[in-house]
Amino acid sequence: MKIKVRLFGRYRDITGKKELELVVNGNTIWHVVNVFVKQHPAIEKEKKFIMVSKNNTYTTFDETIEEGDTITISPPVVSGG
Amino acid sequence: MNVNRYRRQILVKELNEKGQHILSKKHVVIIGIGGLGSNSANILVRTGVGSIDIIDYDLLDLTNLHRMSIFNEKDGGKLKCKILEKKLQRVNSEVTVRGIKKRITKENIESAVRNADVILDGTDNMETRFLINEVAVKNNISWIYAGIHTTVGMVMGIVPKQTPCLKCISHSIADNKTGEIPVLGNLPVTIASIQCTETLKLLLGKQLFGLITYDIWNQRFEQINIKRNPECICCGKELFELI
Repeated sequence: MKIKVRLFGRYRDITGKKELELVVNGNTIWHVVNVFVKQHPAIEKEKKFIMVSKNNTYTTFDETIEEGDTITISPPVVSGG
Repeated sequence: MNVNRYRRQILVKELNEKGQHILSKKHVVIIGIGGLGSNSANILVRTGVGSIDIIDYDLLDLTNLHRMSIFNEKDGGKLKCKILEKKLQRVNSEVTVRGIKKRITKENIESAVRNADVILDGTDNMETRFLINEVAVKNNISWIYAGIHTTVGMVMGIVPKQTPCLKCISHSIADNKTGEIPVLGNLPVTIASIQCTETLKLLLGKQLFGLITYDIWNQRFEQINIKRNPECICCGKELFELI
């Protein structure tokens, strides 16, 4: 299915886009993240910490999705002080 | 309280004179005096929060100065908490500022935050933040997480049992223990300012935003709504692993 993905933070710089559409074979956010990271291997090492939300609410990778959902993908939480 | 001192601030309807009086009776504990903690302490003292404890065990060195605007070269080698206490007490003598030399641990954190209305995160590591999170949830004290990296900062206000806690979003937190964290010098004061605004709102009983992210280089401000995780072992199940 086709999923609309909004990008936050430096993921916009990496892709040059605010929004994109991904074709996903699977029904969880993890599938979306995998497709996104495959296209942008530079972020592979932070893959498991990527922040995701469904329809503007933060969620986890195992959340199920369906066509029409909007997924956002953001870089992980930062830790400096 | 000298109301005239805050005249320009009281004109702001979001605060007003009543709010200023409320602030003057509140107690905030800031854990960690880095780029965030030092700037937040500076802001809150000037804003007129009644009493502020600033906790840190470290000495100031030259590499701190690019992001900690209140210190100068003559402060080098001295305890940050004690210099900050002295400087801030001169800024606003109506506020009680206590610089406390202490490394926060699971043994001492509960006594350190006992009377806090809000705890501010000025730390530079996730281990201490999770400790703050647990003690805050256990004792029903609100706290404000803030973090910085390169040109990006994040802030999230946490009200136990009402908003998500740090553990609710822990799967998005890398276990980052890799040396020095790169930070643009003017970022911390901006993020501290956002952190302090959320603190003031908490102290005044106002609604908070979710997770706020600001990229100062690209001038991007983003906010993500977050729901509590009912299965969260900290705020959901109240299983405290660290304290």
